[in-house]
Amino acid sequence: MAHTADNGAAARKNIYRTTAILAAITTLEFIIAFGMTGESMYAIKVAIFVLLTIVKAYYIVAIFMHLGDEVKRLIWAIGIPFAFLVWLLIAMGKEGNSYGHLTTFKGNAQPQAIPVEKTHEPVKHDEHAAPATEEKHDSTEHKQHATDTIKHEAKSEAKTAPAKEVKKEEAKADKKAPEAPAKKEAQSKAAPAKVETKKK
Amino acid sequence: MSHATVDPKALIEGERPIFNTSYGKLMMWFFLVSDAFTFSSLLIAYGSIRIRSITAGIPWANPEKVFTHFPVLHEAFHIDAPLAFVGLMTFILIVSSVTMVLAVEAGHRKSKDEVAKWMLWTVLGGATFLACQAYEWYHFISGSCHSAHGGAHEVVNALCGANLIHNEYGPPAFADFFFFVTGFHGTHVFSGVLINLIIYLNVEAGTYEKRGHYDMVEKVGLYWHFVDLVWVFVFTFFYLV
Repeated sequence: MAHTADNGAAARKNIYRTTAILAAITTLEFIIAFGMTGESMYAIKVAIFVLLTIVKAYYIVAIFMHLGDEVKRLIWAIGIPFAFLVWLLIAMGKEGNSYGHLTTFKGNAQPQAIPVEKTHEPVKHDEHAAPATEEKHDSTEHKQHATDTIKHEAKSEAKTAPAKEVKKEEAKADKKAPEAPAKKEAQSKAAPAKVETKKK
Repeated sequence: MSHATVDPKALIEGERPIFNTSYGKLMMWFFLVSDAFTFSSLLIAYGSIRIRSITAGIPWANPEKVFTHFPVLHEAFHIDAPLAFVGLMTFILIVSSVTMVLAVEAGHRKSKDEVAKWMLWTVLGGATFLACQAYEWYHFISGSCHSAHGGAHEVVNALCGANLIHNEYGPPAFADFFFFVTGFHGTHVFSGVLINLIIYLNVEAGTYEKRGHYDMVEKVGLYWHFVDLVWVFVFTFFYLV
């Protein structure tokens, strides 16, 4: 334990150097937080933050907590248990993702996730569809209605999707819209035909 | 760097230091490992719930838009300073960690006055951090309605501020995790300040001078650095990401 005055000065110099590094990293984090905006940069941003945090943690543990000065077996005894966290991180990440999917598709999510119209609109459509097959002059009106319903459904689905995919979904919906009513028409025509054959 | 040597006086008689460290420091290290697991579980749970929310299509709160209050700037000029106050808090805690390590270094040289001086600065730093956290909690709980429109109840049924069930910032889980994670950390800081204060009084009373070593300062130092370490992670995963 022979700490000479010179030895102490060297230790203090090391402390101040580490302080400067920690302050610099924190400042860098702030610059990145406000400098790198935009959705496409988000993954890179998170990766940089995680990396810088680990660097900061290393300096605090190794220099401030003097773990770097301890014997190797103590370093390993303290360090190895944290390997379990890698498993926990992966497991809970997947768990959260899976739970998110489950709550979206079953409609148990919060109101803003699934609009109320989505559940009501198709029901109305079915009610209309039944008389439409019997009276042929009603078919044009029915066609218009079907188009609206499909567009609406596509948009309400797009609402639940992440922001990135909204534009794509809308574009798809516009392209699909003219084709879809034709299919519906074909189905509605086919349906009474079947009924008729059965009756006969 | 050469290995740190253990002060023979800090060892229990007949003890063979397999880890080349005193019993107290070793136990402090293992306590900190277990405590680190608690904090890790909390932060990973936060990540899991956040991923769940985003996957289900419920937008998560944006911390840059939540933590915008800075003392004086907010009250006097109504200027928003996103995350600036949190950055200041981080800096305060890092500085108090530095003063702690300086106290430990002075303890190695058995310089009583220097240890006392740096311990006092550490206590002040910790208390300042707690005061900052109180300010942040106050604004998180009371919310944006007061400052924005003057009247607290201008819009009926509008969510204002946060509690454990509702909050104006995003999913309720966001406020729950904010209260729990920063609250749990704040409790650690609070107990750390108390322990540091006791150590400071002991240093002033000459307890460690009589004992012949400042091993106790090192043990408390480990705890205090750990609190700083946890905040580094909370800062990144709660405020920045």
